[in-house]
Amino acid sequence: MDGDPGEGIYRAMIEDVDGMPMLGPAAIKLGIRLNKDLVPDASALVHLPAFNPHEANGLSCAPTIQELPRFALPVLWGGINRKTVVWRIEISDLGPELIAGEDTEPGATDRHISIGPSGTIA
Amino acid sequence: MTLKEEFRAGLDSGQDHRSLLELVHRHQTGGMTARESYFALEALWLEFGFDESEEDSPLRNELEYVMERVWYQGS
Repeated sequence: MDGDPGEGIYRAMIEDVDGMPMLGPAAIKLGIRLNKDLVPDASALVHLPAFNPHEANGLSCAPTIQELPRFALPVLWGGINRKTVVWRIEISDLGPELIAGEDTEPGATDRHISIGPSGTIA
Repeated sequence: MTLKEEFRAGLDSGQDHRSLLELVHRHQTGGMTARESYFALEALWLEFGFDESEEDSPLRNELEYVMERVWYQGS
């Protein structure tokens, strides 16, 4: 598709009626999947992730649109999803409680970014 | 059984993402590449009609989490 905006932080999500990403703990909604994206400790707290590959570091994103998973990527962008839209997340929009970090698996075909807590949160 | 068949059976029996990822890993140990395993799961995803649906379900959530893991991490 023309007009690829290049590197950033991207996630494919369903658009809700208010024009914002649909909220929810799902791969194509805006929300953390408990015990998948983040794993609380015994006190139900989550902490700043180490952003190590293969660990639960936060909300799954990609640095380019074309590195998003094919099932999540809209048809318009070469994927197979008929319901999602690609969203670009600006670092400045994350706020002080969130942090983005690359946690790409070594040797992986597609790079990965996670957005997680910048400190300890209940 | 193929990965797709075995995975479908696992989903239908309510297996969670940990068990399902182990299943994928077993097939990869047997020679299936990460991308081959991703596309096997994608075929299943399409059979469920998830490409045109916004509805959540525990089954869908487990399948999509595994697909995401396989896409980025291989298993």
